[in-house]
Amino acid sequence: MSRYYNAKPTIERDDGIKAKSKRGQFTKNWWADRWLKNMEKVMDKGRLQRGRRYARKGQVIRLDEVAEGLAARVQGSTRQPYKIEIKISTLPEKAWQQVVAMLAERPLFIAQLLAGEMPQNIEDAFQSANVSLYPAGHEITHKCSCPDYATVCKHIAAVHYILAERFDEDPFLLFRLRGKNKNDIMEVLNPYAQIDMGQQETSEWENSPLDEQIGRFWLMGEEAQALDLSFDPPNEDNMPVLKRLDAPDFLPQLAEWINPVSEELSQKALQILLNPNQTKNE
Amino acid sequence: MKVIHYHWVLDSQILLGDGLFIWGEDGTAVQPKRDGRKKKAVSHNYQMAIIDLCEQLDLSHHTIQTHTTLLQLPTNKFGPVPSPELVHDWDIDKGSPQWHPWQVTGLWLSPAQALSLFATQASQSEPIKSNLFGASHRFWSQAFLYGLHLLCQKQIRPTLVQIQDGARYRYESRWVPILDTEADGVRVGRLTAAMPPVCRSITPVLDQPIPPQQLIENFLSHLVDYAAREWVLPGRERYLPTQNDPANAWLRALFGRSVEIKRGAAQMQHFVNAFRSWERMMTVAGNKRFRIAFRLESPHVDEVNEAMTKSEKQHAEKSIWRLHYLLQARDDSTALLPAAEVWRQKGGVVEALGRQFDRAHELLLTGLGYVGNLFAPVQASLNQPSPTGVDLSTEEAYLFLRQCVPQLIQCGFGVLTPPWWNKPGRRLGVRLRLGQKKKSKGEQNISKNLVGFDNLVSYKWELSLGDEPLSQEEFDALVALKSPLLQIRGQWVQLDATQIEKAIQFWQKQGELEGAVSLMDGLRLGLDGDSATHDLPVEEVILEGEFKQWLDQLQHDEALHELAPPAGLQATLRPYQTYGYSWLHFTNRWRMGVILADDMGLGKTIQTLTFLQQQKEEQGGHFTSPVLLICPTSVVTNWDIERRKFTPNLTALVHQGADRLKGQALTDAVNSVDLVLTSFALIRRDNDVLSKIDWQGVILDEAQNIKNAQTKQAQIIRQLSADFRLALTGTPVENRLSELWSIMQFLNPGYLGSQKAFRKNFVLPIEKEQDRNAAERLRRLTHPFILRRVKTDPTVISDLPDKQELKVYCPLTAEQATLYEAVVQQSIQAIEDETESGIKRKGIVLSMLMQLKQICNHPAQYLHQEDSYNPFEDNGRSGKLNRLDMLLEEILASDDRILIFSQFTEMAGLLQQYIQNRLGVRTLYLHGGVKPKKRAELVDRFQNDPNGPPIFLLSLKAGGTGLNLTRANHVFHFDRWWNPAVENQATDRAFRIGQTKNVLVHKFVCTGTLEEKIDQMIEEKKALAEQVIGSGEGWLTELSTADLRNLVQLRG
Repeated sequence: MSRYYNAKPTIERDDGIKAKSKRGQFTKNWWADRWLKNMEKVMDKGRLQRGRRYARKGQVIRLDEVAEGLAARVQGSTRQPYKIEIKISTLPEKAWQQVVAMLAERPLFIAQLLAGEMPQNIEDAFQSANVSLYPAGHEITHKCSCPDYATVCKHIAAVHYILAERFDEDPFLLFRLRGKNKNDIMEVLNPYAQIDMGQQETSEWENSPLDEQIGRFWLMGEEAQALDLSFDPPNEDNMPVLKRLDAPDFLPQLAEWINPVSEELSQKALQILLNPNQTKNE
Repeated sequence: MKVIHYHWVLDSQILLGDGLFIWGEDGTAVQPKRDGRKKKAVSHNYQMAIIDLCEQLDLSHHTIQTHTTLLQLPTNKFGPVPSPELVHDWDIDKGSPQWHPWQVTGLWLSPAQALSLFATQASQSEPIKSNLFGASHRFWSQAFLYGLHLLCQKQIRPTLVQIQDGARYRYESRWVPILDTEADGVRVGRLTAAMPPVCRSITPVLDQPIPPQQLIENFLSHLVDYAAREWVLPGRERYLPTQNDPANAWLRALFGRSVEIKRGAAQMQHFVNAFRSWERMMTVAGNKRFRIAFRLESPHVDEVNEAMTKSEKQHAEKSIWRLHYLLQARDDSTALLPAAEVWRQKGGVVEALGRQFDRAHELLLTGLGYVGNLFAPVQASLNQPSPTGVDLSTEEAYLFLRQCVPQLIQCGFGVLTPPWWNKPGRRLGVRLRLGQKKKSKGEQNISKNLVGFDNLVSYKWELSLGDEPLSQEEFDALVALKSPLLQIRGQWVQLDATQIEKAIQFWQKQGELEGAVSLMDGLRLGLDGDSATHDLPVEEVILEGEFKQWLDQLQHDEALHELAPPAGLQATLRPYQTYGYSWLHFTNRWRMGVILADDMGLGKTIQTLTFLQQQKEEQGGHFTSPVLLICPTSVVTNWDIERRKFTPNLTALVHQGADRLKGQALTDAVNSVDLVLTSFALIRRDNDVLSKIDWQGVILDEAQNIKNAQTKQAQIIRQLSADFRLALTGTPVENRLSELWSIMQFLNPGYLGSQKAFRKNFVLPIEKEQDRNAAERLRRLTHPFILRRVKTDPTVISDLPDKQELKVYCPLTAEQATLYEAVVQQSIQAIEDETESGIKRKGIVLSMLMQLKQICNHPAQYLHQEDSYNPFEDNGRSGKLNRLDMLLEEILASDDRILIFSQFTEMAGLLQQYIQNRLGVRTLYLHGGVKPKKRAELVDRFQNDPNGPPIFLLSLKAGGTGLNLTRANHVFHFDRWWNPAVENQATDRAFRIGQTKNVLVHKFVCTGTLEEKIDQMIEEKKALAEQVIGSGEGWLTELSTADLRNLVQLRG
């Protein structure tokens, strides 16, 4: 079989997950990069390179978090995609208790995590309990249904590259893989929270029943007249949202698309009010 | 009549999808039956027909879907209680209403159809007929305006929506509004509070209707998504990238007509992760209910004293600033919860201030984590448990204020800066000094001589900090201190780099800082200094010397020198009239065109005539050139009658009618009189002659006739050459902005800027943005040009008699005149032929009088066209009705209440149709056929119902005695009962104990007809008349044929 191994072409799919990185660096943040570095240590160059190519071509067609780690499917050269399992051992409950107590002392850690960032010295909190957030070699096991004899084949490598992208976007992913999600941690920080879990979450909107409002049924409150509106367009050409959000790495040129639209809309809205009866609508 | 209601509905309410449901009530339906309260829902019994809805809204019923749904409506024995806007004349049950579901059929508009309808309505220049729509329409129109505001401000963003569809997900690209800034939280809060409950009445359960905020947010989301796709996107699609990955598919769905993204599930899941991570920064500041806020407290600057705690002392000594962390409610920026309270409480939901802050700990930490990346001191504070704030040095505080605050606000955080930050007096600003121009030889003092608007005013700009002007040296010394925040005399002031930069630019403009401008520009600067553009804020405008005095006089702050009445005036002026006439004289000296806008009945006519008479006397007894007075056709005669009465010395030409002068004859006649009276219609027609005259003055009565500046008529009037211009109007002109501009443009061309600039600077901010500043600026600018006294002014009311009688002289229309003459000819002939029977003769006379009175009222009454009468096609057939229409508009603008008497039920019926349909105003109508119980109800409704109809029509016989209608302060006698006692008795329905206002009595008289003649006879021999004519009209039949002919003959 191995004779044919290299001869068979990889089956291409267009519904796979393509890595955003087209060349060079795969990750944006140090914490995702560190994950890759750990993996790259235990793999040979050739497989890594092929794995990267797979990730960029979109051969990973599924990647899900499961109870003991991750499950994935990678399309190779056989019709049936290969099954991959990555098992990561969770940290003992006792260790977690200590870690979370540490976290409570320095709210900065949680605050940064919640704001989407992995704290630089996060491992400090884990070292106090003699554990580490990043799994050591023996805490992680790989399985792939492909015929490659190596423990870490190119399919597994491809999955890790896609996984690294997810780390970039969600630093809590690593915590989940180690046994605690965001809510678990918030609950430990704030011990009475558990009691509340049974309670219905407050709805997104305030509601007021109609019953008592029969007397003012047809009437509008005066507040609606005091909205303090302004139809002076802002001075800048850019949309305010672009100050709040960086260019997305999945579409770096987004601003070029949406800025002219917002500019035109702004003009158009003003025009509706300024040039009576000249609006062109369908 | 009809009232239309709007309901923005969600897919969950009506299974057609989100959209707009429209239905209406029809007040012209027959009295609905009272059977409507069975257990199950029945059909609403006076709803508008679909075809009516489509017609009123200008929608095609071919493209719009109809839909039937259940509405929860307040209901009593009558059935569903009508909305207060609905005009009807049903008997309504007064019982307190209960909820009951009703089946209603209306139109269902898709979001795109609905928003296109809103856009059409918003772009209409004239406000749409308010009487056609209920509060729900006003509400959603306001929400639509808010949506336009969001678009103008570019407060939108693209997003990715994940919708669960069975076991799978669907994905859509959508544009959504950004509503999380502090100001928008308050706006949404206000809209939420103001939503009329009717907007939420499509609900099966009363205690769980759709939350108002959900409806509003859904509406706004549809609005921006629709606008982005329909208004700007078409045409862009073809340039879109074609790659098949989720990101590009998302982009395509954002820019195309189809919103759905069709990609594989795993791909989309991965993309959603990436997308949410990108979007995360949109939610770091809080959730829908509250945000994280920061309050910066400046050090106590008082002396350190013993009463201070140790830490206070420390803070004061070292200038330590404190940045506090808080939670702030979105809908009420004053509801603030300190972080300490959040840390103190345990549990997922923190309860405080009567609110619930869910996930408070998590959101507070998230916000702080984010801000920590922007501002190091905040990050440092997170190394301690339960952070509540951080101490800052002055430099750090400045950095926070200057750099961080704008970023934080941008991201939706709440920021409470110290009260002095960016406040006038605590930063660099400029001040403007205005005074009279220093006299050079040969020039005259401004207040002594008539020079007019071209006179010069000196101005000087100064730099200031706090209350003090700042010289260049002082400024340099302060800059040398190199501190952005300084304490001067115990107060913090700002002196930051941008301001310093602007101040340096200010000094560079040295040459422009002082100079002189025309009086008109000086006036504008003096009243509205902010309009001057400097980069630094205008802190103050200082007026000096005689210019200040002059301006104070103009603003009616300082007493005006009151003039003695001119010798040729044949009347006694009331004190406020003397003031008004003196004001006309004073403003005229400065050649300012002004508006006399006194309430009806206060004597605008006599003040104007007095002013003209005074001018004539001042000019040595004759005008060098004539004055032109333009008014509506129906009041030309009125003016001439009053002129004859009060200032017979003023010679006049009444330019009116088919036989009016033309060409050279007209020019000659015009130049031989003091005053030319003509109508708006004729100024256009005889423009060739009239526009060539050099008028001394042009006066517009009922100046609202030129409210539309673009009309030919308005243009011609603006082009008339005149030394002075004056406008008279009884409507509150200051509230009708485009009208105000048009009149001011006639009076003082250019003063309020171009029409376009005026729309942008004032109309839009005031009418659409409810901007009080702009309203106040406009008020300041126009105040000196408008004199408006209302009847209820304390200074006026003491001068007014409690009851005032006004004769309203109305000309006959051509149709009326023709009919009138025919009847006179025919009848006189018949009377002459009838020589034998006295009784027969009497019959003919009485019949003639009756017919003539009917013609004077309305041709339709005389021709018995009551049944076929269509008020919408009545194009001014009756002189009286034309005048009534004008007067009612003016009176209703000031919320007064009105009685109208006629001795003819046919006429009262016509009036009711006309007023309700043409003016859209509800009326009550009492005639002989009304049963006593209903009669009491009508009176009760008029007297006591706060939303009751403002007009009460009564037949003289049924309503002339006994009733108490003191809520009215205007009484109209549309036709006359030639017996003053009967008329007075009717008038006394309003003018009696319980009346707190002055009562105005308007008696209609058709000029040139028997009405005028009899009116004169009554006036001349009132005492005699009461004896002779006491019993009615019988005495008229005793007149000789010659006397009769003389009485009824039509005079031109």
